[in-house]
Amino acid sequence: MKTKLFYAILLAGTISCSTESSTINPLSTTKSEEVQNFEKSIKSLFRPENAETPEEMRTHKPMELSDRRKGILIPSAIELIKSSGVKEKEINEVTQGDKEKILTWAMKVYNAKIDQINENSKLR
Amino acid sequence: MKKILTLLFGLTLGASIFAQIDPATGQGTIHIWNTDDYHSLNLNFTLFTVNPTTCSPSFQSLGPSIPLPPGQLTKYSKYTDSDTAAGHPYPIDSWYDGSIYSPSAIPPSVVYDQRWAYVKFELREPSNPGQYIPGMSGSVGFYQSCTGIPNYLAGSSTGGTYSFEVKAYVIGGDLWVEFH
Repeated sequence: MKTKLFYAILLAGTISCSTESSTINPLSTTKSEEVQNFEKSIKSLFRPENAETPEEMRTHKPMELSDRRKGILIPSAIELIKSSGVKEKEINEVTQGDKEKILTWAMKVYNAKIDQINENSKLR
Repeated sequence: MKKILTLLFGLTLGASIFAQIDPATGQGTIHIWNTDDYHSLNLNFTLFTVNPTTCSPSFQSLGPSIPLPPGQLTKYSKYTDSDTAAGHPYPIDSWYDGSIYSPSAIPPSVVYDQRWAYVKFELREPSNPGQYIPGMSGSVGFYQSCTGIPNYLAGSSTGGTYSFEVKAYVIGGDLWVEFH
């Protein structure tokens, strides 16, 4: 039992540490290019050419993005996920191109990176 | 082995129970962005939470005492990671529902079903922070059917010196409030 427990802890530690180093630069206190580009793409939703069309206002809930507007965020979202060490092939396999799944994944990466930056800033 | 599983379950429950985000998905963090597209004003704000199942209002934040400067972006996930002790750059150390609570003093059973609802704000000049600017304030947010607060607001100051637009979005399960 003790041996099994030892291996379980070792495996958990290995996975945890490998994920940690692949997702986030542990020393960074500034936003990476991928994070900044993701933020810029979100900000770009405010541009007149990216505003909701009357048809989109009619067919979507007020705060939900239409498929077209989600599409504006997708390139930077994929780059952000890739910056965490995930290959594009894996993103495609997991999400099957579903834009909502890609954005949800990207948002988790984004939050983790911002948390790490705040944590690093505290330590300085 | 049973003890280990119980411990892991306990840790998981403990981590998820202090949530204004959805404990099942981890979604629902609120992001507040004071873009400086139209102006360079400080954003003074308080946050409100709601139980969206019952529509009962929950808490209002007493703070942050530090305004969000122009161009800055911040986020809040849970009461307990939003205070000074947690190192939040724009900390909220107290919450009000008729009584004042520190983040850790709010019972988990109360917190579990709460979600971020809306932002009440004022935009003020960084060089004259004590001066209220008429027309440059309001509330914007989510759960309209509960709160009646709009998801979009635009306005301008008396005399037309400043103008603003603010919109609330849901992106990837998170809540974004963008001030322009």
